[in-house]
Amino acid sequence: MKTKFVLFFSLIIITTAILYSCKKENLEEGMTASETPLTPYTISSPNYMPQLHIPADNPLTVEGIELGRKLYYDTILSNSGISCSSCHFQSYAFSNPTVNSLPHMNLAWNNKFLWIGSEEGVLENAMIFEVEDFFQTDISKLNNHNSYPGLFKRVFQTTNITAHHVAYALAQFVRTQVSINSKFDQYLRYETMLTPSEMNGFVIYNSERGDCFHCHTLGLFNDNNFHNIGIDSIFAGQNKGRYNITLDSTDLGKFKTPSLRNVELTAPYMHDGRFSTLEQVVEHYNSQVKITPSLDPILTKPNHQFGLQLNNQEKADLVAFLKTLTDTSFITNQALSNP
Amino acid sequence: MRLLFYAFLVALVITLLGACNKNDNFFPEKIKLTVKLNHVIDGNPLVFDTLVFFNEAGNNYEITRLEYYISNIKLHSDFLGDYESNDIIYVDAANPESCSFTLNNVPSGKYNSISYTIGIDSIRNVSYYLPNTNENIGMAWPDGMGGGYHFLKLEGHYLYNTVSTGFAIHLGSNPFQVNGSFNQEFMLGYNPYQIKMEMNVNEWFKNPITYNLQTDGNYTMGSALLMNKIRVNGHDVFTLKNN
Ligand code: HEC
Ligand code: HEC
Repeated sequence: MKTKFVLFFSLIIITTAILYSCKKENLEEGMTASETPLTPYTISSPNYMPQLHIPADNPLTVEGIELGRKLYYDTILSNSGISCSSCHFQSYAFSNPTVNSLPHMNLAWNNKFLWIGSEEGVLENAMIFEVEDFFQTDISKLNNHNSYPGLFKRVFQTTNITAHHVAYALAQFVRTQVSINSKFDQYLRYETMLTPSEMNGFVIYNSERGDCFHCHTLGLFNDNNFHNIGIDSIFAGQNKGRYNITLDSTDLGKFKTPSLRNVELTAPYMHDGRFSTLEQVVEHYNSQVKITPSLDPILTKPNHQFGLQLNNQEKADLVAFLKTLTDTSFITNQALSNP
Repeated sequence: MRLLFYAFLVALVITLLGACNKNDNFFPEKIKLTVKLNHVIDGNPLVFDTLVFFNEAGNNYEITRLEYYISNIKLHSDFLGDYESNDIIYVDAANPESCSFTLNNVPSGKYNSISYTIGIDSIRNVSYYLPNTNENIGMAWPDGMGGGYHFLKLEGHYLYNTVSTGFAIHLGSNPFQVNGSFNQEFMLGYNPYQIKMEMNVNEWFKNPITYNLQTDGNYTMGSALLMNKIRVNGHDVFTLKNN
């Protein structure tokens, strides 16, 4: 009995080993048939950032990222002479001081996109929306271009560029828009100190006192979720938020938690840009929370109070802390600028 | 090739022999046990965002979030002794996938009770101890308040003077680790090996302390007094259900 089992088992192992070695040969043949392999690219990040999941069908390569970058800055994608960079400026963390656009940073770690989560899942999904629906890119312009066909062939081994390829290249570039070098990151790496006011602001932020961390979670500074933070007492039009997708009244007034990294640069604030300064935002949380049934439970404070009851110094401290999230190396990073 | 084959054979025989040695007492059979977690409110299925539930104190409430860690699961058998699991399991009651987990190498047979921790023991309740998944990062308990992880997030709304008002029952920090158990006999005798543990959310609000969201408090974080009341009530939130 036992010997039979052993024999059988070793046969299985050997067959698998042989099959495996065959497969490897095939793979190598395939590789040599095409050009030199693409250069893999990895994003490393500290352990206070969530684990990064990159879809298997769109691995990061130096060539793919470069192509995505070129597209991001190219007006060829639109039919009206604009590019992604027309609304997403690097100097404002890829947001825009006039349009209430969302910034592009650390989107590699996001799985809900746009203010009401119209797109979910991987970044590729959001990019397909941008290319096909928002820009309605005329792909023939790319196929007839003098350099794009060669670049796409190199990255995606294709002779026929589709919206899908454009979105995948953009997704690769957008994944590299990583901001993890703010003063606060440096503080976490023991490279710098916070001022007493910044430190006090951090304590308010990261305790039940201000309770910002439950949604603007440390690290990513968002939680990939939707909340109603009480900026409206009645909901109409776009202010209905996530409700406009789900038609569920418990989603009234809920929006994607925006990351607070570089928040100093991303004014105006909220989905409709109603606040122009961080002081106004803090005052909202401090004393202007509107009570509606879908208001997030976290905003009901101890003793059924709404609002944080911070004094002027504490409010200033909280703002000082928020400003430690500004990452100047990100907004000046040459690898992310117009090629 | 032939050489390779013999090398494999030898290696295999050695490992198998080794395995035989270890398993001196071959019985009882070691099985893989699936544990399903179910969440109810006094027997009614937990439906999120619906203001239809009442607790012992009479608060009319709804739940918007129920997340916790369950760990140190111990199956006790008068015959077989104790089976202890080292796993720390994250549960989001809104996500069925997270409400089921497996325990490996459980001796089959008759058991008499189960004990468990809601939360994480002090040795492992340390910031960044768990893998940095989105879920674990979202459960982080602030360093300034002791660090580690939230043990429990139970959030929702209730009618406070007729106005729908939020409550947030959060536990974290080791003095407030919940040690629970139940004495219920069960048999792990035949496939599929599965047990169902059911949490009655209302048990958090009673026995021994009737917790009133209105008079005790709607927000526990930062209040040792309130967290302790919830901790004490947590000892019997789970019971065993027949499948
Ligand atoms: C006309 C201005 C404009 C242009 C051009 C533009 N965007 Fe945006 N972008 C916005 C605005 C406004 C939002 C927020 C809108 C919303 O969520 O409803 C946004 C949001 C996004 C988001 C969601 C970010 C998040 O945190 O969820 C992504 C991704 C994005 N844009 C990518 C792109 C890409 C890629 C391009 C080029 C193909 C592009 N955008 C071009 C204005 C623009
Ligand atoms: C319940 C979850 C939640 C909590 C708690 C919370 N926020 Fe927010 N925050 C949000 C959401 C959601 C938005 C977007 C709301 C909108 O656009 O209508 C937001 C927006 C903001 C913005 C504007 C960002 C931008 O780019 O537009 C700032 C700044 C901000 N919050 C700071 C804070 C601070 C400081 C605290 C603590 C005092 C805090 N938040 C607590 C969820 C939360």
